[in-house]
Amino acid sequence: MNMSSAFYALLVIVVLSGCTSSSDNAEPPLQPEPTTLHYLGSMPNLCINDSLSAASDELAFDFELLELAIADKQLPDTVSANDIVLLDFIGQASSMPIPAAAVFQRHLTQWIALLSQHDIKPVLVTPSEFASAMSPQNTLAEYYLQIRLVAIETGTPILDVSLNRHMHGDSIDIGSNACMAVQQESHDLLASLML
Amino acid sequence: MSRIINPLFLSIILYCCISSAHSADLIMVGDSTMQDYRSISSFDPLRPIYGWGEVLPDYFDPDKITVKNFARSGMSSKSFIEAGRWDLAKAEIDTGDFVIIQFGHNDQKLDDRYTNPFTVYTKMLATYVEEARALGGEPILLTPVSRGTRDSNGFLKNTHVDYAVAARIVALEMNTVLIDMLSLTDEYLLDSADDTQRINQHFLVFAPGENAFYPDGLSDLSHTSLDGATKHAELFLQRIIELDHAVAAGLLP
Repeated sequence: MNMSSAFYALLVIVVLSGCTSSSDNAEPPLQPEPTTLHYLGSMPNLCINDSLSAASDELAFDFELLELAIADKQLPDTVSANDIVLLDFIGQASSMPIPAAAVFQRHLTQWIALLSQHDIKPVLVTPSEFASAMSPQNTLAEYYLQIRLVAIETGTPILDVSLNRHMHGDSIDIGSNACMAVQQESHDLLASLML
Repeated sequence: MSRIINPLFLSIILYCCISSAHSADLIMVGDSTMQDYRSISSFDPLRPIYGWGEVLPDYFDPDKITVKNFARSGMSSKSFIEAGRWDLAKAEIDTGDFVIIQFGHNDQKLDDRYTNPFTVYTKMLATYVEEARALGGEPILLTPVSRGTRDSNGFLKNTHVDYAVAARIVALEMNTVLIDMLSLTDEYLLDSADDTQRINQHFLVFAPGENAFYPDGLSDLSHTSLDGATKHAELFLQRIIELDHAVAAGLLP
């Protein structure tokens, strides 16, 4: 074996051992945690329900609706780390009591703290029934403001159903421009939270 | 050699002179309360209305700050964009410029201009802020100025306070400088032994025969006289100085 043959033999050994050791040390491929999307609080209206169902199908989420009052700060058994929880306590057809706006925001902040402690990603949802865009009688304005402020204070993302409703012609019926905008925003928001 | 060096040297000197002489633009977008009425060719110079953006240039060293006022009467935050005026303003925004954004008076009109203060209005303000920044400008958000209408207790009516609250939310969300002109003008208008006289001088309030342009008299408590416009400009600048904002460096001594 001359010098150049010895060199190439050594090179082959080094390369092969590098391959072997790198494959020996390789971590098993990460299995993504199954992520569930929970809608907590009031029952969503049809547009939100459809939008989230569609987004969860596309993004491979399980989707669960859990009706409970804002003051009931018990984490349901089905919610676990890495899940996404949408908080909407002013949805339609809610039989749950809604406290005054100032108390409402305190509860929201506590909910977000509770979820964050368990590595659960919270999302705030603004009211789908916010008064007509052309009306100065903003019956839910105080609550809407509190949600925006809580979002700023806690760095929590918002699914802004109220804004989409007001930006796109006020109707939130299935097939309306506002509903399609909510559908798009739901998808984009949830996709960003999966990153 | 000297033939080569001299033009090159002169070019460098000229470039340095041009660079150092470049002033920042102060771009104003808003409504009638800010408008420069005398820039409109059809405007009757006898009409006693002034927007505060009209008097603002008087306070700046023109070598340091150039005021470009795009405010127009009747515009809401939404219609200003729809009418293409924001595009005109954006064409002037360059790195280092400042963009003053003030809407609200027409956003509450219940027609096509209307924006819900907490949803669409905040979205519109956020759009101005984002787009100004994308062009290298620094946005300055302002809450709308006061109206002079009073409630039964003599206080100024909360006619558009929701828009001021909404602007504050956008400023927080987008980490933007905010000057709360509503609170500043509210305080100023009532901080006088004779606040009725102050309000009348501030706005366009004339008894019959008092003003040639309005021989039958007028009680317009939204638009300002020269006194009112000047005071709005001074309140704005006072706050800019208090904040030690970069715009203050362009003020005349």
